[in-house]
Amino acid sequence: MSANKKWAHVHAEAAELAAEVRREPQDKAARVASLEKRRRKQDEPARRAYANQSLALRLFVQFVGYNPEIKDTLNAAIEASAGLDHAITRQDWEMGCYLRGVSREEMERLRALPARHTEKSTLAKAWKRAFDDYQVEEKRTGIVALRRIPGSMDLKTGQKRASQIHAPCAQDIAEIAAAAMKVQGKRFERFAQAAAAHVAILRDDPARRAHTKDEADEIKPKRLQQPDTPALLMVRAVSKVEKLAEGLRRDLPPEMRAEARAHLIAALATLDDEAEGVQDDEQVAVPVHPDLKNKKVDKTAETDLPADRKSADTENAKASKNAGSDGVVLDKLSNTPPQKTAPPATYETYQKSIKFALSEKLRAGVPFHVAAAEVEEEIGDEADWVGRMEAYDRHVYHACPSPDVEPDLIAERVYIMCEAGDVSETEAAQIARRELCEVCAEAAKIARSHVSELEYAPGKWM
Amino acid sequence: MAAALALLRPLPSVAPVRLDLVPREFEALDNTLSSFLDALPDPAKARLYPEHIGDDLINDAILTCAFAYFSLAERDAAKVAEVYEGFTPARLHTLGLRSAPGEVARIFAACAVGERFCDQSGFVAPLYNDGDGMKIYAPSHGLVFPARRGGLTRAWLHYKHPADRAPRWVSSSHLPKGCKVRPSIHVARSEFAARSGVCLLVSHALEAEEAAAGAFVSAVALNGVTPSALVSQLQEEWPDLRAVTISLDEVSPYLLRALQAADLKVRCA
Repeated sequence: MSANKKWAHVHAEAAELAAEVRREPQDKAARVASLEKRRRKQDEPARRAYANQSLALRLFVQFVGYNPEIKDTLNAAIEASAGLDHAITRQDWEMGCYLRGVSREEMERLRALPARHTEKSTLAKAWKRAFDDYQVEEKRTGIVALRRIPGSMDLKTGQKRASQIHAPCAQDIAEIAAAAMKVQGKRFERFAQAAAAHVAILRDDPARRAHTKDEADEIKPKRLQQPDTPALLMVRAVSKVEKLAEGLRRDLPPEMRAEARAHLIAALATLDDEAEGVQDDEQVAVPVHPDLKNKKVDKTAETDLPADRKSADTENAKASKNAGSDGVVLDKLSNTPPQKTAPPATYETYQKSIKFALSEKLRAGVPFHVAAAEVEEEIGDEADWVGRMEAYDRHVYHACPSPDVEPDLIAERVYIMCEAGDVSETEAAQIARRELCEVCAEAAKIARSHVSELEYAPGKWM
Repeated sequence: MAAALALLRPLPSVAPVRLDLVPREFEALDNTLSSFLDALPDPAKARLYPEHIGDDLINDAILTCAFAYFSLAERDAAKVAEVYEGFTPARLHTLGLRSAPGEVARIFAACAVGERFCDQSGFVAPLYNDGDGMKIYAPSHGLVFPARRGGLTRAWLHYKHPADRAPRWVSSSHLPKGCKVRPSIHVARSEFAARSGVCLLVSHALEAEEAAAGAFVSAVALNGVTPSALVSQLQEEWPDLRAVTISLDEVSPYLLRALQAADLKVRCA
């Protein structure tokens, strides 16, 4: 077979392998699936970037462009591939006009009015309020697509400067759109394609142009018109958890840690609201169920801690309660009946049962991270993505309990370790703290793996 | 006169003939055609730039164009034939082996590339521009061999001497407006693996050519690419590849793991 003696045995080996492979049955579907999985894993960063940027574009379009000018705006964003960030210098009332879908003639009429006219100031107010909501959305998602520089007065010249809208995402979108033409841009080609398709949809969809309301005061907090899919929610949750885990790992001062944790909890609560389709501003902080708080008190009473430790513990809890506004909110929540503020019954029981299972395991002397993992396994048996997301949320609830629960858990763990007599109290505290951090990191990892499993095809969730 | 008048008269209007029914003898053909049309990609999912020629194709054309101006010295060919069995100088020349080009050859090649493709410095590896027009960087001695994958030249490999077992990539990243190399495997006789689903993995390009010569096997040169790049390039080349026979001096566990993770059967020869 081989003309080359040096390679004869290698060729024989290859031929043997070929025969062996031919004998084996070939599962083409599985093979294609694994290839697809691999490809998706490779494209993951690009896909995530694309998801972020298309979200940014969506927000951008919703808040800046809706009317004939949208075309110019988007063209500027997409075609200026090597320019600066897109900037619009306009007065707030003008932006209010765009927001409310005022016609050009009407705008001309308004322009002729004096600067402090009621109509103008109403419009300006509407725009500013909408933008505030938008910024909340930006903060929540962690994606800054638009910035507003408020208008100012030059004291020397006495000239007014209109407020300015900056769109830092425009550059990114433009780059994505032009990626196919760039060198080494092949990998982004289909993303560019999707982006182009998305822009086309945005341009043609007449529903997007109507942000008209009769009264400026009636303008409710703006939410995205299209519902957020679990994939998107998961992306946000992951970024939040990652940030939190990072913060914990860095050994931040306790106030900052508490703050970070409160942010996470608020984010998760908002996430739950969205998932359930509830839009209630009062529900932002729902981290601790009142029963749980009672239970916590019981727990402290039950465990026969030494007197000084117990007092320190309660002090801790008090301090964390009084530390920020979160504590106040929590107190309020605990006074209100649970039907109003608490999540639905299934959720509640779920959470409670998990807390219970975890505390039982901790009492039995199981290390915190092991206990959390076990509980996660027990609850994580739901196959569909909703189940997985919920399980993940629960897991995060465990991994990062609210600021006034955490000292309790740490104290408990420290107590168990000290009872075992292996370590000193300080070491035990350090170990307990580290365990908490590890669980956070673990949660982030799990969440990330869930995200990679979810479908990211932009057409499906945009 | 009458004839002229007849010409001026409007022509009788003829109703357009519509062939709604497909003649019976073409029915089968029509079915085939419609199934063929169904199989075509959905226009909504079609490429963004359908007639866009990819970078790979352009890079291949540039590198091939430049290579036309390089020659293979007879003594070099003889030395290579001593090391690698079964090669004649003509065969080596056909495969693309060249001696390191001199100054004149490089200038000629740069002019040819510039004339045909304009200034492409910064886009392909051996090109650079030091402010005095586009130039081609090439090693001053040794041998140059093109690494080919998917029938396209991806980059050049520099062999310091014929027995060099670790050739380097010809890059211009160290020069003004140069470009980094995109490392690629080298595939010799690709057609066999497409059928058998098995390929032979060796260390470098000339070795791959030697291994594939006169045998019914496709050989792949690793060329020092990373395991993950190897796997993705293999999958791009042969989506149905099922097994790899490895004949390397040293087999890295990372390489094995990457191949196994891609559902490839691995056998060391």
